[in-house]
Amino acid sequence: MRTLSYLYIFCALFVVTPSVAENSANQFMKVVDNRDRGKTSEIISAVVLIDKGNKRTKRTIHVLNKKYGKDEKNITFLTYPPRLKNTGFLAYDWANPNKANDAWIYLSNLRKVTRLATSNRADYFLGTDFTYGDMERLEVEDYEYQYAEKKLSKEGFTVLDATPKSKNIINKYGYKKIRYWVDDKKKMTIKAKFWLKDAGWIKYFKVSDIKNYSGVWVGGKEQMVLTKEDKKVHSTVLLINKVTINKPLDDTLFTTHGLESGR
Amino acid sequence: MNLKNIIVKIALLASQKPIITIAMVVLFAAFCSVGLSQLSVNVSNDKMFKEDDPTLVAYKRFQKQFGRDDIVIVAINSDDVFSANFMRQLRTFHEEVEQSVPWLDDVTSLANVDWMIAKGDLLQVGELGDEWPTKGEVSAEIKADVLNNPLYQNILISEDGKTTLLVLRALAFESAKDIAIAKNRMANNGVLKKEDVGFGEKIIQLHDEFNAYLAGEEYKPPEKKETLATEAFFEIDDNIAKPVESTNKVDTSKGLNTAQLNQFLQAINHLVDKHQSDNFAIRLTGGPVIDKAHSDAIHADVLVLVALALLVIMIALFILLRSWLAVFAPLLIIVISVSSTLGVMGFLDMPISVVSQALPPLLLTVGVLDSVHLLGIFYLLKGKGNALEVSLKETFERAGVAIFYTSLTTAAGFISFTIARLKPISDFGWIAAFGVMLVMLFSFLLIPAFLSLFDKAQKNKQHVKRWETFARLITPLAIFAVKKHYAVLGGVLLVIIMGVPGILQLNYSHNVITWFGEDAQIKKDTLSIDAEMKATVPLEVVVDTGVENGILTPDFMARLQKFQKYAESLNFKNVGVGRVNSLVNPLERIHSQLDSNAKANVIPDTEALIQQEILLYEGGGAKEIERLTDRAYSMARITIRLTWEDAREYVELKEQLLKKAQNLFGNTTKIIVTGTVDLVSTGVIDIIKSMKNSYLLATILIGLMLIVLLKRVAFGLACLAPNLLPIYIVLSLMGYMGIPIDMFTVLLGGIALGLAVDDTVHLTHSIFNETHQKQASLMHAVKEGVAKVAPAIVVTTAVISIGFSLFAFSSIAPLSVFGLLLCLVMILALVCDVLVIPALFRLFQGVANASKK
Repeated sequence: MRTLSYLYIFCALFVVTPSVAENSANQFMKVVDNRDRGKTSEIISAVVLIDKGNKRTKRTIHVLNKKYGKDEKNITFLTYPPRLKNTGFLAYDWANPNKANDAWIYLSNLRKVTRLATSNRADYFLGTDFTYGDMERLEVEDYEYQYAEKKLSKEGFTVLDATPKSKNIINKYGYKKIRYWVDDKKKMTIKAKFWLKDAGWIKYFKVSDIKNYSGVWVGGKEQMVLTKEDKKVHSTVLLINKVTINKPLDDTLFTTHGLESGR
Repeated sequence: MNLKNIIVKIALLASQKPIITIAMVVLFAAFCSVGLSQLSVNVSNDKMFKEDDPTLVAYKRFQKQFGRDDIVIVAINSDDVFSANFMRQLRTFHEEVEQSVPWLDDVTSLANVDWMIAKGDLLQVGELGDEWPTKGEVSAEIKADVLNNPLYQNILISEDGKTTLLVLRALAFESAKDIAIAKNRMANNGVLKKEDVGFGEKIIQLHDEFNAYLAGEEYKPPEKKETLATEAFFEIDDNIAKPVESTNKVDTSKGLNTAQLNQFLQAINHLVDKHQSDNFAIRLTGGPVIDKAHSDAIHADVLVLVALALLVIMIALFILLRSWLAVFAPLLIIVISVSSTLGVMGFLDMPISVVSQALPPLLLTVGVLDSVHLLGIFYLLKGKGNALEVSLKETFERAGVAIFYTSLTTAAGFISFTIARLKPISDFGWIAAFGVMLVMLFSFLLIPAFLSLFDKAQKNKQHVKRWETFARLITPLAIFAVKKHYAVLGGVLLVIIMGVPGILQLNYSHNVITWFGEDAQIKKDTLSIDAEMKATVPLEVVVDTGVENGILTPDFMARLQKFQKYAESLNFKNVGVGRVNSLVNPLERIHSQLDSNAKANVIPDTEALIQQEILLYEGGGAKEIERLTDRAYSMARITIRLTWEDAREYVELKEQLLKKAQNLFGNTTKIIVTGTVDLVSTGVIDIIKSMKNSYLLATILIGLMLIVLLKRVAFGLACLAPNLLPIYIVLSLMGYMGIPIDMFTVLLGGIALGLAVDDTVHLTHSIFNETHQKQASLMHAVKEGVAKVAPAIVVTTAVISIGFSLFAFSSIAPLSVFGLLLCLVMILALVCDVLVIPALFRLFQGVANASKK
């Protein structure tokens, strides 16, 4: 189990490594999961929530991420609207699959840090269409990967299907199947389709405006569309405003005290 | 050429070219009847209104935002709801519902409802079902929390913890994808056979198979490809910075029809039967279930009533006219008229509704009138030894114009319904009027044609004698009325005065559950679930601030709390108010779990904290959030659960709640009260309005026709009295006996007026002919005039009364009462006509004589 890695909402939900020469789809996705993302990252982005009537709500967030070996710590602050300012989430993503993730929420007006249970990754983050699970790094060991019948899409992406290894995994992440479209040249997943465990519900993910920041590919615009029976229910668009890779970040930031101090 | 000559000419032409006439009529009827293939039955509440009706527009807007409100409630009784075994069974049932029920939007139960609890310093968020252990029972602490939690108590579980609900919502609107999914699910669950593909699909498949055969290949069904529509979901929205323009177009989204809702319910019933057991005892209720129950009752009733009406009419016609031709000719006219009228309904996309299901038996009964008048007079003339052509000519001379006017007046009675706001009533008005005119046209063409081809009647003294017996029954009454006209008219005045208290006691009602007998399962289940949880009928209140985050303030939330407490504490007549919920309930829960010092039912005291705590509620995703509010948090949905009661009681309750909401939330917010309760209660108000307006319009239309027919304004208007009086008497009796005006009895006045005026037209036309054309004295004119039409009006009254009395066999209680009342009104109409019209002739003759002097 690994903790939340909010960085990847904004820079890449699904990433690839330089090598795509592996025979096995599982090996391929492991390499994807372990690619270099920089030691730290700081991202400021706008989150636009769009409902079925096309009404839009905007929020902005400030995300900090730091790697500790194979572990990661991640802190997210809401910066807009003003009433949500300084509300934040802290997450520890442990590389050891036997160690449970840790997560906390801080509500500035309650002045209290609350620990969150992390067993269910199917809950939605900040009212977006991304679940907590979507924002973590790939949990390769929870899925069985296979190349799709047509391995290469017409755009030249490698197409893979991920099947959960057990019913518990379906309940944990809320998906009964995922399909990825991976851009080998840009070394990123460009599209993904998520079949939710509730019949008829499907999510569509796409990233665009990809740029390279200090060797790390980051999507400038990401979209997740939630549909039911082919009708749009809701969507979320993330617009990256500022990306800083490998900036020194103090360890005290990634503590519950850092969460309370705000940004 | 005057009207009489035109009608006679048409009749004689039809008798001279019988084969061509019959062929033309049959061809026309066959063309109309093609529409039968498109005829549907739809008795759902939203079909009561026209598409642009503000009530329906508000309801559809609500459905677009929040989905359907009229839920199917599956109540499960068990002694061990909190055991692991029960949860396993519930999950299996829940999952099977999700996977196999067509047209399903969502299902909520203890297994999947959201749950949040603080355990020490850990906040746990997930589904309530996950709290059930794999063995044994739920902990006492969680059990107590669930039973007392306003998010679940009397919404998903009864206070004693022995009844739990699965709440199923069908889709509000259909789409092509929904149709395909429903078809697939029905094929898998046995509701529809797999090979039962549509005709269009079969043609495409045959074409592909043939092409494959020509190419020497094996046919392979086409693979399902990613459609362009779903591919479009990958396209990034590049217009997020642009403002969104709002539109005010009328929503034309197609809601589910009765057949689709029936498939939805059929699949649920299938699963209920499969899972029913002693310790998993399942009951069903809710709007769609009750709609289906009375839709089924209507189907059964229409078949029985039509069959009975046909049988009775055949017997009555044979007894009265003693001729097989006189039995089968009218029957054929009626059958092709009914079939053509229903076919036209199919073409016009007019479904059979609660009201128009009375159309086939009604047209049968009304249609026989024209035939009885024509054949009665024809056989009388033939019985006296006249030749066919002479008899036909005189028959149409004597009755043609009167039948034309009676058809017009009957149609006018039905047309008076077209001003009603309720769609089933206005549709019924148009189509019944069309049917009546069609019967007249077919009678004018087919009766002469059939008589010319098949009549073998000879001079028949017995028929003449029998026909004259009817005249002897009626004529003395008319003579008495001429002699004692002041006494008769005084009696009328007395009846009017005596009827006033009854009229004042008249009440209105619409309660479909009372249509069923005490033993009906749907009635027992609905009443018992209501007794336990008061949850059958949801009333929806939407408070729209029009401002982003407008509802996320302590002030607004406090008002919401206040409104909910007010609604829950209401003790309103027979209506039981159950649990009321809104966004304030999850907010209270979140706050109590995050802040250990906070008491239950307390909301955060700052706007900022409310918005912060709502972030946790958003963990449920768009699907959960949009059950209670919009994403901009500008509007709040408040659901008030009510027991099933008479719609008239909801009317006042709705007004009271609306007033309270307006007081609490102020003028700056827009309050919408909608939902099935609103549709039904608005319907009841409209029944009241449409009845008054329909009676007024029918009176004006029929009054105008009487003026034209009798060529006298005052006398024409006075002749309305014997038509209005029977309706007045019956309405007054209904008031005295506590019989309410409902969806059926509201039709009483219009139909009775249209039919009763038949007798008036025939009677006045006949007496008028004697006094003006033959210059006979009034007494002689009344005696002769009444004698000529008495047999026909007695026979038609008898046939109609017997026809309507058949409604007494209906399983729908108000329909049987309606039949008996209409039977009574027809008999009263005959008595009033025979007494009052001669008295009026005498009165107006006196006035004329006085003015001459």
